[in-house]
Amino acid sequence: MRTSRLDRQLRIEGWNQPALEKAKVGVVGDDDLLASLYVMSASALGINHVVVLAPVLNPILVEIARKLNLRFTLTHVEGFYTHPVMAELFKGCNIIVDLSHYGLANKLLLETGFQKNIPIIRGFCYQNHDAQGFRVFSYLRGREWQELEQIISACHLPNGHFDDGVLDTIITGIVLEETKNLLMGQDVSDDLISYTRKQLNTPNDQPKILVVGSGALGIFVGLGLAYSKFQNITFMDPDVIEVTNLNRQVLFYDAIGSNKAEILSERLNSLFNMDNKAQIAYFDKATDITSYDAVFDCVDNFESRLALSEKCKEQGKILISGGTSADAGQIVIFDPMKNGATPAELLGLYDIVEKRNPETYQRERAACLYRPDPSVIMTNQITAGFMVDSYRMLLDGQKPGNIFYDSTNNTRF
Amino acid sequence: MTDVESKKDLQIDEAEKLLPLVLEIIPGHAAEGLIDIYEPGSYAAKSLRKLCNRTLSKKNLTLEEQLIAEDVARQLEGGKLLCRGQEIEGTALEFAVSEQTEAGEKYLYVPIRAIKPQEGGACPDYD
Repeated sequence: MRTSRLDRQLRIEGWNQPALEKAKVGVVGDDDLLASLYVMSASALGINHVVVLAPVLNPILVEIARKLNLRFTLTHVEGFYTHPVMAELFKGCNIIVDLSHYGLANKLLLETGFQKNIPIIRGFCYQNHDAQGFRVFSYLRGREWQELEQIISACHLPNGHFDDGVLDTIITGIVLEETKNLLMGQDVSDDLISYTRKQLNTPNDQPKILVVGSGALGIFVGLGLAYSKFQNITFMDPDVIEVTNLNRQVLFYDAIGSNKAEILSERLNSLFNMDNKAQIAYFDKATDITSYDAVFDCVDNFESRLALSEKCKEQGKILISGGTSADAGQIVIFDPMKNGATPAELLGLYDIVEKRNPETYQRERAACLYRPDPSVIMTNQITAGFMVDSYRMLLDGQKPGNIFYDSTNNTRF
Repeated sequence: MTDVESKKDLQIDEAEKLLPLVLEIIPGHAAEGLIDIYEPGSYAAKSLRKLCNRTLSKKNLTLEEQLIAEDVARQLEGGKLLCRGQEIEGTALEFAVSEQTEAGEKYLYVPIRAIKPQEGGACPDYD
């Protein structure tokens, strides 16, 4: 069961799952979602031992963490990191993840990292006047750089602070990627990873949203839309849940064999009191999208992505398209008001699909000459988070750009 | 978020049209790419795509440039050249930003990325 669940990441060249499973990771959090999201994602990735110091954790996300990974052990100490003695809690930890929003903890943890030579991964979202965003930085002894000034929260003691579930989802993905890199002895970014946009206003209307694809991208888009208070989503997917989905499709821990769209819709309805619906179907040229205001493309093949582009262009619908691999992702936005290129046009999907001989393509798939792509939770979280944030920016009258994410690059996007 | 500005935000004034143009074709999100420099007057009338093709067809590359060119070629197998996440249709001036060297010499810069789209799902197994 364990190997099957992790199958899609075990396929990654050079992947060292035992390094994750044996590690002990310390987490310092606040009273917001960030630490809980990290705990859930770390468990999905197969990190088995996590120690958290935070006043509270989200019980639903912790329950998901436990159900996804039966070897997962969580030690949760309720409180704040306000004294050097707290470092004792993290004795034996390979890494400490600092997701807090008070400067005292940030400084104490950097001091601990320096004294005990433990890497500190810092991630947080922030609001500064009318700007919002996030920052991530990996501190290793020797990196006593000027960037450290930018990762210390302005407020010294625990206090009310800006939090956003969508930005938290992206931060979690990037911080978990850095955790994985450190544990596997791979390079971490030596830049401050930073994202900023203007503050968002809460939209008055409830748009009708279609999310095509209910796999990992669809789940995190669904969660992001739920955190952003959207209520009216239809999830479309013909596929059933398989055990190999569970290293990243976090809401499906007990639903193998059920339809993805149905389970995702039900789970979000029950967790967030939403009014979502499910449609068990493939998206094709005949699919009716007239009743929707926006469409999220979370599919896993270029043919469907092409059909989505054409349909949204024809009917003048907003399209937010996302695609991922194990180490990269892209977010391409089609706004009919601007009449720009569709995702299929911009990414050159017509050429790619045309070069695939449909008969050979189908035959190879049927003959199992196709192998599943490696896939991990992080790029899906990051891409989905940016997809939802881009949509919120569009609704707010801002101009989101297309984003190309690459986990092997220092600045990431 | 330097790579996601829309091209309408980038304004080049008349005086800056007389600056040299530095065109860089970067494989994916690598830090360095293939660099070509165009003198004022040699690029304004040409399409950006044409300039990119010229850069990509350059011979006599150094060893380092050769490695970058191979990375670009790998990205372009099923990938595309994009500038700040947008199609490179138009002239270089439409995409250029004004920069200056440490010595204070001004130039126009156009970063082009060779980006391969991510599909997810399955890929052919040729092992």
